[in-house]
Amino acid sequence: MQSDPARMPLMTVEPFQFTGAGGEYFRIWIVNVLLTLLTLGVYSAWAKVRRLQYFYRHTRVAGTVFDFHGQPMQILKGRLIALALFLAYTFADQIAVGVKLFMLLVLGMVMPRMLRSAYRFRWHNSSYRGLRFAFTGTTKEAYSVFLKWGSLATLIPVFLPVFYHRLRRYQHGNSRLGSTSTHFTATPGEFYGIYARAGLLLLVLFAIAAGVILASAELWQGLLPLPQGTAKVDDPATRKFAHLMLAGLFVLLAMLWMPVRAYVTARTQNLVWNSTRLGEHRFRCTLGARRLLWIQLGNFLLVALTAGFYMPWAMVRQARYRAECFSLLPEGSLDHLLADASEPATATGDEVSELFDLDFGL
Amino acid sequence: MTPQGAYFDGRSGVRHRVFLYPAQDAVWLRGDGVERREPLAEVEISERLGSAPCLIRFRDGALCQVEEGAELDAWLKAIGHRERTMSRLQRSTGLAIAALLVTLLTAYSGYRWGLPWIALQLAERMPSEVGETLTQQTIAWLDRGLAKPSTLKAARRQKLEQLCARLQKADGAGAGHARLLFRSAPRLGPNAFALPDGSILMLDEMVNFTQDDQEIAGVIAHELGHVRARHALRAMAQGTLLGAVTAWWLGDFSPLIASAPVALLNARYSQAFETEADGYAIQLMQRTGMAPGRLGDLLERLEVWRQKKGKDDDGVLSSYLSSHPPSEARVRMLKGLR
Repeated sequence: MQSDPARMPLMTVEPFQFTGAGGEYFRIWIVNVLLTLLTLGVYSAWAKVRRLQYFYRHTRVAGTVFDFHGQPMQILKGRLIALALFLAYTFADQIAVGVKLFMLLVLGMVMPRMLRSAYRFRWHNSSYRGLRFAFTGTTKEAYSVFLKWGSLATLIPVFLPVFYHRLRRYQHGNSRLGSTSTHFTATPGEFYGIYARAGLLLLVLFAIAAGVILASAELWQGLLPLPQGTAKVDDPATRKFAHLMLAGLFVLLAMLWMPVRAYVTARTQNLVWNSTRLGEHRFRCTLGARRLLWIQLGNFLLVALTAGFYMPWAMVRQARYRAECFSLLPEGSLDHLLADASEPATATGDEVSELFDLDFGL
Repeated sequence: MTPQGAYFDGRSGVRHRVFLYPAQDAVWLRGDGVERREPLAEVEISERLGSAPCLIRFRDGALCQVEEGAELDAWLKAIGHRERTMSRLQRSTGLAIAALLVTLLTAYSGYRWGLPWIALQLAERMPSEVGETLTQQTIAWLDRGLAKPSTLKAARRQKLEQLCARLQKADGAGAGHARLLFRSAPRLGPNAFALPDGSILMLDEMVNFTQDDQEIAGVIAHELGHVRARHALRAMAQGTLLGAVTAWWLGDFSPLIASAPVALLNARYSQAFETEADGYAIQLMQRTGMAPGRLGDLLERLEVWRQKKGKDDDGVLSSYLSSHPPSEARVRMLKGLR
């Protein structure tokens, strides 16, 4: 950032802050889980509202928190539609040959529309300082992002960074808070930079893992109380040892993707937010890939060891770190933010109440 | 002390510092150039979620943010706001512990009884075309590489079919008529499978492995047990449901963790099916004057064969992938019934 040093002291930084706590969230979460189980999933829509309320109202910037206004029934509606589509797709083969292909086409045609609707639902139901967010992305652009670039990236993975660029541009370049619009300035080239380095990282990690496995193979043979070349597989102790080693190896290989994912997440988040402007206000995001990896690794192990019951603490830990690395750089006062005059502040107008949410998580 | 709040009028981002005064059945706030008084029924006071600030939402989009604390408590009480039960419950530690215990109990009984029951209902209501389609798909997949046509002589096949019919007759009414399919598949070894449409796939390797008719009758009776109880469809339904539940539970967090326990949890289900099929086989064999112990002999030899084979090739993997683990207990139980 090349800016005039004399101006620097004028720049204010409003850090984001997450004030939730694991133990506190656990109480809300466990009641959500129980009621979702007892209602065979129906309650999950209400659970989601409570979860988002918890995370929004615990996220604070410039002294004020965010608010979520979504109605559970709208979320439930979205879930039922998504479930119906999923079931129709899964059992398409049972109906008649070729139905699956037809369903795939139908899904491809409706999915961009549904995703746009889900974004609008999420944005319109979020507010800050009594001002609603809005999503202004067009249906046409949704088709270009998901149908054109989405399918191109699926067929030819080289286009994956372009797809992610278009996706983020669609989200971050088409938002409003009240009447203030966002702008998105990142280029596809910057996304390619992240993915190229991630690919290199994967290659290096793979080479290291292969090296470790080969080197330790010698070591295991040395550890076994057997003369070389006469390993008896039916000896129970030897078998158990071999099984354990094999299981460990699988876990090791499966965990290779974690550093790569942490790297991509951190760098993409930083790029995306540092390239987003809300009117004249800017953001600063400084997630560290290594810190994120440690948090994710710790969460992964503890969630696995507790059969999932560590989840609330894991979610809070991650939210806290993300907020820690995230600041708003206001240009002047936030007082100048104005509501969108064309839309009455109260109204989740007819069209908005027709929107629904789209995802399955708790 | 009256609580302080940050008021936003819903038209701009200007923050007004206000105080909230007690008034019966009304929200009354004043300060910083604002004064507002609304009946309690006209505003929405947010559900209290831990230490998150309370949000008072007005009909016109205005908002007042009030920090949690004793002052807020006192004010809410004074204005006659009644907290919803759900919201109160979520703050109690005792309830959280109770909810945790009930969740564990629900999860366990769901796994033990609920899910198998749902799978049974699904399997019983499944149109027969579904079983037929699945069977066709399975056979077509086998014929593409793993399986070859059977080399058993027609007379031998006919004899086995007669044996199958005789065993089924012993079950009495409603046993249906199970078809025997013959294939050869050296890579699958001595094996037989109950298919979703109620037919039995018998491999040449299994027929040749048995030493007499009583042993092969034991195998057929065991598979008939699977057919009779619709185990193939039930196992599929159970596996799918189990996958869906674990994906819901952990999938958002990590698909890796979510997929690991499915196989582990499924093992209990498949063992229960094996035991059930063994029990059915014992009945059929006793009714047709055969010794169930012969099935035990066969299983014992199969285990020896598997261990021997395991020594020859990578035994580590094959013992994990085998879906028929003839446990010592099974063999002992069957051999006790001479």
